[in-house]
Amino acid sequence: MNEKGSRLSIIGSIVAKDLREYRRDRLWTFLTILVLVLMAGLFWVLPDTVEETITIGVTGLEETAARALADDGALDVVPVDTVGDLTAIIDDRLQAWRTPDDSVVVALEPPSGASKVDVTMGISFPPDFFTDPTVASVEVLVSGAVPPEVRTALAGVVREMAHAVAGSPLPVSAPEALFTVLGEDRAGDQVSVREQLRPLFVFLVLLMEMFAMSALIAREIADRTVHAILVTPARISDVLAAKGIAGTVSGFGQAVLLLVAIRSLGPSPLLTAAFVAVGALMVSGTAMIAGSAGKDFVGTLFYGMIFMIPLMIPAFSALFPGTASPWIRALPSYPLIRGLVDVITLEAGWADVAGKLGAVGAWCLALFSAGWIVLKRKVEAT
Amino acid sequence: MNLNRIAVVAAKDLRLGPRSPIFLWVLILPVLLTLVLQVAFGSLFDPSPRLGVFDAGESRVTQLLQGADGIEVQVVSTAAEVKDLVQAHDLDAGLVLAADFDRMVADGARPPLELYVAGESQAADRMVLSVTVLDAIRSLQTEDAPVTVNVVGVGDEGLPIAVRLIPAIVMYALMIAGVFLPAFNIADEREHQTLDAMVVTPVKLAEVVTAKGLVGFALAIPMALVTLWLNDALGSRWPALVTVIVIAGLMYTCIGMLYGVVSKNIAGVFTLIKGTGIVLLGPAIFYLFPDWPQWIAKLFPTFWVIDPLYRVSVENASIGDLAGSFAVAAVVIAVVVVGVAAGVRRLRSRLGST
Repeated sequence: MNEKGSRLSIIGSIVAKDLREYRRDRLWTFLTILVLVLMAGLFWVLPDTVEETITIGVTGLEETAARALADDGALDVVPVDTVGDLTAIIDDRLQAWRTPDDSVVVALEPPSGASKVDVTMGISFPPDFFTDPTVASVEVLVSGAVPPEVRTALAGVVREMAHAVAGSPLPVSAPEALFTVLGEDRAGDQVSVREQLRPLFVFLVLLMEMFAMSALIAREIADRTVHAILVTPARISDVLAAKGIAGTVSGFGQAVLLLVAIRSLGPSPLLTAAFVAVGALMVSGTAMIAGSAGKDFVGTLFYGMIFMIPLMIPAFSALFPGTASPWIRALPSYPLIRGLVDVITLEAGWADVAGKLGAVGAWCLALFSAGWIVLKRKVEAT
Repeated sequence: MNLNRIAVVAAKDLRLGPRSPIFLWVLILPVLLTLVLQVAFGSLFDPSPRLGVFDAGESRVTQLLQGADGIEVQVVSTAAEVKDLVQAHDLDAGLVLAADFDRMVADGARPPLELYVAGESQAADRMVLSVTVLDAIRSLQTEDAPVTVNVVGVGDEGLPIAVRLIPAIVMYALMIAGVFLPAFNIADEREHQTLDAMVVTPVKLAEVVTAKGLVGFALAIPMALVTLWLNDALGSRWPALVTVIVIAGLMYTCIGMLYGVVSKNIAGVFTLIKGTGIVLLGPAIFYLFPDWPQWIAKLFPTFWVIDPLYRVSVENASIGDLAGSFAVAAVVIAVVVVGVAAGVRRLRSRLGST
């Protein structure tokens, strides 16, 4: 066997040993499966739609006017017969139900096949509002859960309706719509919480693997297993390569399993897998550093946390709208998270995310090299 | 069991404990978590619409919008920047006001409205922002609105997200001190074989485990109170609050003792906590999402201490209101204690102790 083949065989044997150690620990195996199952379960119970309309109950409004009010898609208008009923619905003493034929029924119990309409605010129009809005006042009824900006806006809607009835034009000119949409218009097609959480779940699995890997490394150093291996023909570089491969394979395998379970490999599974693989390699590098730095499990846990907290920030920032702050974009996990969001949620292709893949690859190289150096020094020093 | 021996072991742990990073976690994490959850994630669950304004003159519209309730207004330095920020969804909408905008509106010249909304903004936010902007512009006109609008509150006021986050934060404080600390301490003694050394002394294994639990319990109670105080949620019913915290601390400590005696080493404790963390923290998630079916939360054993805690601190419930929950919590604690006793017996046989 030539030198290269021999090295690969040694590395393969060490990787197989490390993976066997994982598997032998029944508790670890059971809990790994349990976590994956729980995460997948949690994913499927999360809401998969975004409620971006405001549901209002109205009294004293003709059907055509109600339809016009709901025309721009921001308001879901529920006609109610009396102010008493509307107040009771908002106060949760009565319920509004939408029947399969799209009519609304007010009752305590749901009619057959009807679904509940969550009405937390309403407008009570006086009978003569559409003939002379100046003669009476309009009541906007709101529950405590309605935020202040929506209360103000509802009052504004009524005032604008009154202006329209009174024939007073808008104080500004607007050619078509009141506003111009910039960027891809996702009204009615928003990214749900469930979709937003996909990359976060994957990254969490990888980070958990980092803890497991760092603990294994720390234990091998403490038990001097590494030194036992080094009296065989294995070199220190073989051990380090094997640790990196074992951590990457284990993290990658779990993350891909989760992605399959939550059906989130995206339209380009290879591209998703590429990001996950690079991410797994990156956390293996950090595991090497944490495992080398900590003297025992608690120590490695602490050092692991030092890495975990900053690495998690981009994952959480992806849940917020808009561009992340420059310091968040400078974190190693940012291109990984953004890449996963783009590929899985926004269905980006290779060309769209090539830059991010390159950036995460560079970070991965840097962290893995740092991990390699730190672990090598640690092994040599003990 | 000998109380003196338990006290000696507990005192030793309290004396040497601060050397361990776990103690630091117990003290720092609840504070850190309060900060992170309340400051950062309050806005995630309850976001306000964000409006950017470029004002070339000194329009009164800008002042009115800045004073509007529930809207984040950011004054931007150029019109181009408004568009860039809206395009990137760093703002939900952007308004560009010309230098003489107010005069033109007052004169009835009907200046063009430059209002931009982000493609990713929600329909409701678009409506809220455009109506609020229009309302502010209308106020520049001399004539009053043709109608009087009264906003009437119905029913109870809703709870802000900051309050709904309290169960999660308090549970975490209880979990760190009540579960992590005893579990890690027991496993650490076992891993370093100091447990073997201790049980050859007159101290019994059950006393060692009880002492570890006592230390966790002693820290869980003040940390839960500190966390409630940091979140301004101590409420006014002190006897009920103290009762519920003691019961909650007891449940979490027993769980911590159980994890400690069944784990071979610290890695085992970690994997147990990793695997069952969702069961321990699960009920807290349901307070964040009141629309979810709330009966599911009752399936979690920790619900029966965290719900009373929430009801006492937020709704000022009395001990009498919580009797049912306390009864279920007592059953859960009894079951866990039986598990701890079985775990101690098994551990004793493995250590070869009598």
